[in-house]
Amino acid sequence: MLEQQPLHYPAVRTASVPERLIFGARHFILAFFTLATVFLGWQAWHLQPDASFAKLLPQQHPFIQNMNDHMKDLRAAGASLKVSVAVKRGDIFNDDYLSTLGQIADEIFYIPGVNKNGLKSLWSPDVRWTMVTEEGFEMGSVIPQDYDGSPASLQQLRTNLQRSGVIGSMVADDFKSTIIEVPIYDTDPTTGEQLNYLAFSRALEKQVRQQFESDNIRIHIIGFPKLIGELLEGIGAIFLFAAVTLLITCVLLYVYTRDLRATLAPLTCSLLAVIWQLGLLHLFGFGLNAYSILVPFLVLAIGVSHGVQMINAVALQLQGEVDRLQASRLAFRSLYIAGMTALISDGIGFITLLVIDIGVISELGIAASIGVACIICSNLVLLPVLVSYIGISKKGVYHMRVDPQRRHPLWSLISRCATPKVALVSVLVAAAGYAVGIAGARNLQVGDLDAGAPELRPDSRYNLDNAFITGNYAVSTDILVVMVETPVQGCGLFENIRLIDRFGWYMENVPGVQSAVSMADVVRLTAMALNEGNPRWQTLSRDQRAIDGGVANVPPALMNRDCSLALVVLFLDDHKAETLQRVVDAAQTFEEEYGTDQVRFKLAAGNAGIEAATNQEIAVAQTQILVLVYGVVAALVFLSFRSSVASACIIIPLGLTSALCHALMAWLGIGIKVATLPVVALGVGVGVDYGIYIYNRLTHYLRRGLPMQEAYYQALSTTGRAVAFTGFALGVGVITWAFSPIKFQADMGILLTFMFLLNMVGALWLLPALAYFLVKPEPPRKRESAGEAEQGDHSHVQTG
Amino acid sequence: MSKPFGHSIRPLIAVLALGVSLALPQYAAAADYALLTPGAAHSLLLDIASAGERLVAVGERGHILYSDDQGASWVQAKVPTSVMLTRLWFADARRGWAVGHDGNILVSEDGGVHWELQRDGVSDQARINEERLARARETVQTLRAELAQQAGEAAQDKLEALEEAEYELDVARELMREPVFPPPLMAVWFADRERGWAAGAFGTLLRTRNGGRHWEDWGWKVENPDELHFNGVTGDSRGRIYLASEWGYVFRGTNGGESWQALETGYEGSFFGVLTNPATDSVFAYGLRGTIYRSTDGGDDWQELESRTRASLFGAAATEEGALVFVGQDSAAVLSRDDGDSFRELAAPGRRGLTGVAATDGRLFVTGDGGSEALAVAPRAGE
Repeated sequence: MLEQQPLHYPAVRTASVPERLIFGARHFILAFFTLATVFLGWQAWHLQPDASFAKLLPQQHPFIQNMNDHMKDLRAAGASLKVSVAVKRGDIFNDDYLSTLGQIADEIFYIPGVNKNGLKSLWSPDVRWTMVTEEGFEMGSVIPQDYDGSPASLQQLRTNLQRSGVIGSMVADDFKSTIIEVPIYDTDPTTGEQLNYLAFSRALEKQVRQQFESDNIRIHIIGFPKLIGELLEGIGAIFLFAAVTLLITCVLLYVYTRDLRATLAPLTCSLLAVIWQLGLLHLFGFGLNAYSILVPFLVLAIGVSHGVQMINAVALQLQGEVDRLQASRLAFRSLYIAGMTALISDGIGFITLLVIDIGVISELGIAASIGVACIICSNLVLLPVLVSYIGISKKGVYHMRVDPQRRHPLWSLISRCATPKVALVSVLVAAAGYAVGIAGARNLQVGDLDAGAPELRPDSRYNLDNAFITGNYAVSTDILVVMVETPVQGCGLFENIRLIDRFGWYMENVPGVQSAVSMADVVRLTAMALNEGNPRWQTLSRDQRAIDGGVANVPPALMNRDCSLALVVLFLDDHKAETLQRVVDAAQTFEEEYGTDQVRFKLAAGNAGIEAATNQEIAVAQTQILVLVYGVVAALVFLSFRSSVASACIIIPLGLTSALCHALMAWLGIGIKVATLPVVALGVGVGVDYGIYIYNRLTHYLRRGLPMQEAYYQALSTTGRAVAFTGFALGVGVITWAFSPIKFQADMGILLTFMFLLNMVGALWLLPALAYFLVKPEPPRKRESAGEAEQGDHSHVQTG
Repeated sequence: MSKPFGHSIRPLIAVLALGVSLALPQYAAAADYALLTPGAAHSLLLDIASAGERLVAVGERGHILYSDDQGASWVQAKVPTSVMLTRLWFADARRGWAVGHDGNILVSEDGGVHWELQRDGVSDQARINEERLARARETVQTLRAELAQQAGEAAQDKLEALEEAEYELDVARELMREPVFPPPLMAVWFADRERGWAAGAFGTLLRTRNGGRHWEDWGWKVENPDELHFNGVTGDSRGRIYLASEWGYVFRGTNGGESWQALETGYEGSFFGVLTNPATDSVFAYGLRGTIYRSTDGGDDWQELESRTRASLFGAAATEEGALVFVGQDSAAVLSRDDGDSFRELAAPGRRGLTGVAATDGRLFVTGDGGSEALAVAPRAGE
């Protein structure tokens, strides 16, 4: 039928197998992809957000494995929230404040997920003061039983607070705020259901913050459950970015093609790729996390840029005396090898992310690779088929034409990069750029550098609340927990607890450790309390009975039920990689020096412990990723061009961008962290596209015997616009992330935009300069085959 | 033949030993050395004394620190124990003792820079326990022998004494079966460079007459059936020894400590220390909730004083001129210049627990949780 009709075109005789398959079954392809879209769209609809904490951790790291071993006991320590209620005028000693505080505590009490028994505010009867007297202990609630709001009972409260030991923990030193401690069940104890962090966080905002905050009352909320809630809230912002990105991409496409059909065709195909990718993710059992939610943007951008290459090629063919189908076939023929190479190298670049032992990153790699596979289907298969039906308007073809009579001023200018002088200068500048990159990267740090919750921006509400609470109370939110393993019922034996105590003191003397808390402290303080508050007893007695009495007072946050695990909680100054490493090293030194078969000090839990493990994993993975991505991409380029010169010309500009990206990170104060690892893989995997397209065209014209500058001019005039468009399309795809409330998404956006744009510049500017020096002039005999090469570029690329 | 060989190898061994000892971290040596840490100066310190111009403080984890610049900077001494040290005493500028938990006693002969473990409480307590068992056995045997020869009313008394002695023997045997527990020492006081006393929990009392080279167990000489703690020890110019104890008791030793008497002060709570005024020979027992009792007649009569604080007092010092300072919880510090008739509060910064005080050259230095510091008000400041 359709295949029979245009037999007289010479091109069909030389058609490759894939081309015959695809264009021989155009109806089938359309039908197949329509069905696939319906099915996968339905799948994508059911995709769930995934807030799994475990996937953020390097599960194979010994620290995390130790933590998982003791997860049951660690969980007993539980997640909790601190709600600080601050008064602006005056202090907390007034009836208005105290009754508001009571109302807030009542309101929190009824929020689902709150462990009602553990809720603690100044009003709780178990917040007590004690005093040693001749008769023994005297004690009572800090808010007196007969409290009536009178000045006398407020004065009584003030006195009681002084004797209570809650100043600095529950009451701020300046008496202008108090904290409500809110323990949280992360899984419902009756139903076993996971807490809905988003709903929980919103309930807090609505029922507590909005209801009670006034010009005199300020409310600050921190804690892991709230942080997760904020992150999930932040992920929602991504939908706004998606709309903006789509709009800008649309405009870009229209400016490029000046044709509605040529705009909508690649856009539709790329959106289909996104839908397929999301559907496949759900089909394979994945959810969307804060990292993989960024993948659709990448897929859209990559899809659109490859789609534009295709549209561009079709438009060029339509300038000649061919119909839509023929033009599409020729465009497909000229592009599919280069397109496949580019896309497969993208995909393989993403697949390298699987070597990183952090769930979210592996999933990001998988999601992106799936996305690339979808793009291959949508933009290399579906798009040319689609265009073969709908075609491109005359206006569009005219706009995208290459007029051999008129020299394009911009391309003429850029083509001078291939002249001897400019090439020499370019290579020298590139060398200097490498030097700058390597020098700058020496200041690059591992880990998160900002205070507070590094996932969120420093000026986010959460981090401002965090700064308020850490500033006004003696608390640190950077916590590293060392797990001390002993035989069952062994943690309180004199020799063992003494070693735990010594460990705590040893660690307290490590710079960066503010304080260390362990069961030994509880036992020491109990001993003092039982000896009439005499500080000369605030130590561990050799008398086991005295220790056992103290062990009975140790809370589950510091010791498990059968006394086989003690937790030493280290409060740190910050979570800089340097600090974490110093603390971890010190703990390991102590373990080597003093650890016995009875007492072993195991790192590490707590947010800082997890971060220490992650940092160690990242430091290793960073190098692995670089080596792998570059190795794989270089090998792929070599395979498709069968030329080490090609590899050099394409890889060296990429390397320059990577080096400069490191310098930029150091300059912006972005550390190497989970979120920046994929940037290299994504930047290089995607960035290689430009080089492949340009090099492909450049050698094509060189083979036809054109001199270097002219060959490059020709290459630019056919593909330069598409390359520039690709650069901007990719940039647009990721730059909106820079406005994300989630700090690491913003960092990724900035860095990827930088890499995508700079890779484009590298391909347009440095590649020809390198080619000038590296590519040898073609022997004239090649001219004979030039006629055929003109039909399609694939003849010089390995067709396999 | 062997001699030259011995000569040649000895320096080698010495060098090797030195090398090994340098290679090892300081805390890994055989003795239980205190960790040398930058935080020691800010740890819980429990007593302070002056050794000539130098200030020396002791505290938790075997911390001993000294300062040669009036408390501006502190150096941590290397100390062969890591248990809490509760009090110290300097007989003169060079010789001093520190006592603490595990019944350990340390001595310095150079004003607090170097310290030696003079009494290893654990091993000495094992010896004391053996002696106690031997004493109990002997008493029981003697009483049985006497009982065999006697009858009637005298025998009835002896029978009761025997019952008591047999109970004591059971206790002594029980102690031998359990892990050795040397009660913590809570106080130390020396009359001069040679004769001194160390007192501690559960009625522990130790005596030395040779600068601590030998410490004798003396607690059994004091009639203290309830094993009350001895939280403080001091002596007056007439050779009487005073022990601050619980339940309002002060124990007084006379005749070089051969005979002891429990004195009722009229108080019911615990005393944490006892102090004599060198200018008047008055005795002051201080303790819980700002309590200070005074005796001006060598312990026979006691009066409660108005201390102007309700915070428990844990440390005290007297100057040669007779100014008295008491310190305690919540930065409490009170001063008297009239032998305790009246007190005034001193301004101590913060709200921390104070434990010890030393007066030198008209300045006061206190210890407590968070280390040592100079007290803001000098005792000679205008009233």
